[in-house]
Amino acid sequence: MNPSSMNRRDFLKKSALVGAVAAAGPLILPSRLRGQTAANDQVAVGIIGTGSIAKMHIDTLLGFYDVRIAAVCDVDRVRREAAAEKINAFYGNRDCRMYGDFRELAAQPDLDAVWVCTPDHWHALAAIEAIRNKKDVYVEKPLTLTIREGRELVNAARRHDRVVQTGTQQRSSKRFRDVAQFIRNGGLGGLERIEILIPANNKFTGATWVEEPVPGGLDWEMWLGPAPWRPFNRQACHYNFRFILDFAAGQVTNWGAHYIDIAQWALDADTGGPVEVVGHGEFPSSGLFSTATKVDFTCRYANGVELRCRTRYDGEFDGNVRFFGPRGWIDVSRSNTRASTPELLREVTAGGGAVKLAVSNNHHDNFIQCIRTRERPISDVEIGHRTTTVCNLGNIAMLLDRKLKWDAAREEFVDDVVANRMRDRTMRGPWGLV
Amino acid sequence: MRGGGLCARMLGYVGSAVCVPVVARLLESERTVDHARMALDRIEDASVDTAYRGVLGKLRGAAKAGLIGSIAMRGDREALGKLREIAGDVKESDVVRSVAARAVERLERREEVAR
Repeated sequence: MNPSSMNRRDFLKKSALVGAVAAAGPLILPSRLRGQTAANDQVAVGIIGTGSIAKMHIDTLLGFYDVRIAAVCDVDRVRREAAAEKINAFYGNRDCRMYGDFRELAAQPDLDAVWVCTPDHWHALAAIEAIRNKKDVYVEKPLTLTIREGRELVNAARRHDRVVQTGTQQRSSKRFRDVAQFIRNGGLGGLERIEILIPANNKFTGATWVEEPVPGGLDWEMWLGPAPWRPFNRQACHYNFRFILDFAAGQVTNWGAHYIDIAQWALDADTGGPVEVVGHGEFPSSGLFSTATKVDFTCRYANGVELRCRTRYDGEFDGNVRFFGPRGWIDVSRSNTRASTPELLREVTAGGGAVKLAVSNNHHDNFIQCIRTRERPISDVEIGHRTTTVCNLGNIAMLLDRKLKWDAAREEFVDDVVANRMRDRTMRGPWGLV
Repeated sequence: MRGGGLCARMLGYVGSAVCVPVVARLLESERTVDHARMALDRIEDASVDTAYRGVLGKLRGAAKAGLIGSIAMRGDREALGKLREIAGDVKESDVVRSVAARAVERLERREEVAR
């Protein structure tokens, strides 16, 4: 029971009322209604990576009365200290431990769960290390940088019986669930095609960049980790790492991971994927950034449905997914749900049909509850892996600029040696998936 | 080395057994071993495994740990004996011994599956 319906402030208000009642006479209260949950009932959490995404997670988790953020880790001392300071200020103590090496945090025996909020090229390694240390893990999207890393992460989670939630939080939104469920129930009279738009890519691409001094407190070697070595440049580091292929896959995985995830959900393809992909993207020929500046790829599923994902140029900084069928179209984004007719829109929100998708209305709470029940979370690691795989298929197809056949069961391209090699990467020593 | 990195990356996509003898020489230097692995890791030819096993005793530290990771991911069970030795060798660094132990575990698991 967490703030899906009650935030910490509400909880504390109710606790105050209970306290007033308790003052009138003897009353035995469960520990969670005493204004704080007993320490041994709290889920102790460590945060790996304390950048912009982690700040949102920290803000959210501080509102959970049965979660305690016990440790943070970042290779950037300034960010690490700022995160710990914020947490300590909230709790009114100095207990939040700080680490510069995720392996040290993952080895802490008092932690139950770990949030992986690093740049993408670290996701698999940090998550697998936490899993080996018997932690449950929340991994930010995209789940991993490569297809092979995703499979390794799923295998590790299963082998060690860990709960692993992917940070595709749109699965915990009624808006998206309603649409996916409507499609699964045949609301459009069948599904013909899917169109996904994602925001434009890196803001500038042709910049001539030079090596810059590494800022004080930043362990650049550790930041790079498994990625090929390169000199420091501030545009290559925090946030903009998303636009360098050694670290990430651009908007295809940044936004695509969210909207392709909804399409996969609606397609009932959570353990599968397309059978074919073709892409025609545009990539920078020089400069610091290397991910596609123009994204355009199409996946075909075994049922004949085509999913096209491309860059939008209307300035909107959100994605959207539009489903087309004989009865019209349904379009959903974070801001609204639209339909080709008012009748369709009414039907979506009415929520009829035999297929009922699993319900989560709070992504963090869903994970925390699954830690307790050992059930699989709404964005289980396999689901995250399959969605990220579709993103990576698109990127590989655009890079090769040819049609590729995909065997989702074997997770390999059919008769294409080069494409198959692009499912994986070599990590700089000492890092590796083993 | 930036040019070397680009070549290694391209060979990683399109390289074949033909390039193994040349690239394998780069495995022996800690300065070039990561690039050499980048070129060779996904070439499905036994000559790569032979080359990797051949330099295991010549590298140390991070370079050796990285190489062990490549051997494990390629599933080279012929390396099991050497890896067991490394995992138990107190002269090796903690990182190398730890990676070797994990590599042994992984390869033995694969061996069980294969049976």
